Amino acid sequence: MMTTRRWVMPSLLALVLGLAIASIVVGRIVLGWNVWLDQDTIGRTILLELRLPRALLGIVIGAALGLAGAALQGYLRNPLADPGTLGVSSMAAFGAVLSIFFGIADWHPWVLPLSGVGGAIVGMAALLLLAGMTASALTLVLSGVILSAIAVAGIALVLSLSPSPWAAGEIVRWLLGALADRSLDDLAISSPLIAVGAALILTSRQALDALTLGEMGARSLGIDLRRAQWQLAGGVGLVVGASVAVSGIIGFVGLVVPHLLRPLVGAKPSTLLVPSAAGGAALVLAGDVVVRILPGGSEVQLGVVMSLIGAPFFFALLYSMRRQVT
Amino acid sequence: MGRRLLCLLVAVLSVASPPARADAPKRIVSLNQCLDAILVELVPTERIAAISHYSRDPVRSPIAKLAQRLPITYESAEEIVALRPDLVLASRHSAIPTRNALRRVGIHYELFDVPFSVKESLAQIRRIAALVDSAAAGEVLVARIEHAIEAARLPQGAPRLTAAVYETGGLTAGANTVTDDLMQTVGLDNVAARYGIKTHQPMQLELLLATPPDLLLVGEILGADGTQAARVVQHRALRKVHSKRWDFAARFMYCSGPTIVEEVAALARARDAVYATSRAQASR
Amino acid sequence: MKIDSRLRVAELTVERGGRRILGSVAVEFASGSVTAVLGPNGGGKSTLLGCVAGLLSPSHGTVELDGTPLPSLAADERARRIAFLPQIPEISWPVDVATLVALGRIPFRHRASDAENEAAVRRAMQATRTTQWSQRTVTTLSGGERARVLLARVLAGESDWILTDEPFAGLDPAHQFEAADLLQSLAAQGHGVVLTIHDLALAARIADRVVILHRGRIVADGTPEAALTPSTLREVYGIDAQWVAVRERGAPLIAIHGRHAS
Repeated sequence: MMTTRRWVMPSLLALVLGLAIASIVVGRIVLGWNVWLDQDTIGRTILLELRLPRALLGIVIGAALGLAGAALQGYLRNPLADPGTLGVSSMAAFGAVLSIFFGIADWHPWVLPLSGVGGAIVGMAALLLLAGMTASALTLVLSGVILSAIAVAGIALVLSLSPSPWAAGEIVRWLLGALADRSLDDLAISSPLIAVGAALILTSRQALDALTLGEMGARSLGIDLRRAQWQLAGGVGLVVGASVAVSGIIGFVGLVVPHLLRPLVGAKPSTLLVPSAAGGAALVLAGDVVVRILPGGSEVQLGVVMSLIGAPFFFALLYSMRRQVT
Repeated sequence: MGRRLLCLLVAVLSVASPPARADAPKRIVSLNQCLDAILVELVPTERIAAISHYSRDPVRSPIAKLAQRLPITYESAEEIVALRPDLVLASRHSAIPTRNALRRVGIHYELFDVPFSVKESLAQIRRIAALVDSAAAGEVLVARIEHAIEAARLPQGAPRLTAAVYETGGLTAGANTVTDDLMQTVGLDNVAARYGIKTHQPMQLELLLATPPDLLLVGEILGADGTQAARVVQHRALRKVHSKRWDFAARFMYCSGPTIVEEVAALARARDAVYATSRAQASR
Repeated sequence: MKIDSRLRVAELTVERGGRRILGSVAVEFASGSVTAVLGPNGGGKSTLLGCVAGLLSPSHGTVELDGTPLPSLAADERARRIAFLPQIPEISWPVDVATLVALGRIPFRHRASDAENEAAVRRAMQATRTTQWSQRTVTTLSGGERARVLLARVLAGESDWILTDEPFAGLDPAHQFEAADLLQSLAAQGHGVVLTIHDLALAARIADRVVILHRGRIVADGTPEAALTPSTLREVYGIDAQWVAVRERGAPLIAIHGRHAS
């Protein structure tokens, strides 16, 4: 049993590497081997400016979502938690959508992602306001529900105020989540924030483990639950907010990956964190490859593919949980 | 007589138009089906590197047959880059990441808004014509459109009618749309505009019940084989609206430009049908 | 090993939502003994234990560990010196037993080496006789087995003080005595053991000292025989009880006859 665990991380890393290569190779334009020679400048442009950032973003965002999902499930002690639970991803989407609606997203490539990050920061501040003084997981989750509801209502309002069906369609397409045509700019904006958020999450590893014994048990082990809550909420918020700001909403990764890995890696929350990041990267890369090899001309939005994978998985999970209880 | 003169003008201008300058764009990519429809009227197909894949849709695109013979893209940056275009035409509502990617790689694109009036649509045609260095062809297209509008204009002394467009989901053309503009010219007062609806928004059915228009322009669906034309709108309350109904293809609202020719003729025919019906009723 | 440690409670008052749960309680616990805190439901036992463990904040009063008020201690330091076993055993994840017991070493993560931690875990599992379950998933164990594993977690911390809230609840008699023996041997080794308990007879059997809390105040404090007098029991619990000598076995037991007819 212990030997299986030792092989998980190397296997996941190999999978991520393989899928990253696939992501770079797959696409409508076939890149020949002479892409590395001087002759094929177009091929090099496509490779370096389009395929490479897309693959790297797949890794970074996938890792972010997997890590956030494992962390949140550990903190809330609930395997049904998802990075969107805190409402920060909805607020990030709202911020980005506002920049499209007001027409400022055109000014500069950084405007849309930074608006998304702005939305995420407002969301985290609101969380602090609503759930700040308590260290209660329940209050945190309820605050997240409220934030999500507000953000979703805001997005619906923006859509209904759209000047034309085409403007509304543009917003809807962005919301459905994609990595298509993302650039190194998007990588440059999201990566530092994701790195900081990931560091915050990783420093609260012990608190997650201690919470296996419940809130009283964790506190009796000397854990400062209020500090742990804000490290986690801050970390998850940054990681998820930066991801959504760049890619739109890609769901289910944070929910599905920790579940798949728990039997392989063990249920101890801290040991699940890094493998979930690797698993998330693999899942998002795989989805991004699938969207490009599915038949039909246009790429299906990545968020749609994730939902198509995630929803049946979720259903199967609920079904098996039901059987365990009865 | 006017029509024959126009044909002569077209013939003369197309023969007399100078060849494209050396620096005129020769690899033009268009990412939007409305812009495609304008582009194919302005430049020979050799200068078109690709149009949008939506232009091949046999139901919604007026240039579907032609588009089958032209290269297309699915509007992804990779495809566009691989075509090495010297001009890209895009809608303001195209995907922002794709535009950012083009900008990074140094590919120049021009953005076009949705035109909100006939004047804006014609200005757009002239702008595209200037960009592709086919000003003369642009004037020909503009002239053809203006001629069609004149032909459909409300005759002197004929009474104005009230009308409303009503598509699936209650989508209508309100004020500040090309459709509304044309309706005004044809002699149809837009009920939606009267209720303050701007651009393309859904219209409440009760507004139609409160002010039944003389003419209800209701959408058509074309089945896969193009033969089935059913009334899309099946709402029970609509049966109470005793307006004259006439087909009005939803695609008339999507694009303007050359589509205006067909659209304004359809509006005029609808108007004339109402006149015919009321004359028939009066003579009974 | 002689641990000379004292937990002193002075003027401890806890008020929640307008209700007074503890009223100016003063008591001192000494290491090297087992103290049982008894009282009717709602009397304040769990609240007292929570305050003494440093997990609940009182409205007034202080709890001092060897002269230092608990809030002045770093949370880690307090966790190293006082171990707490909550009443409701929460185990959120299906981890294996060795992992669960090792959680007791969390307060030592910056202070002890991996080897020291592993050794402490091993000792704790040996003392609770749970070593054979080391790789089993905790959720597959029965209630009694789980209770032993949770106790092993507490022992892994090797702290001076072990505070446990209702450690015998839900255990069958055999497991109850097993746990009781373990707690007594810990006291014999010099640790301070404070527990809350409902079972009067078991309390009388294992405790060196009994403290009875009634309506937030201490109404009795002493050896079991001195504190659990029939009149006290009648007043606190409303029951008729008496001490019965069982000649063959030695220590006297409490027999409860029934509710007191008043």
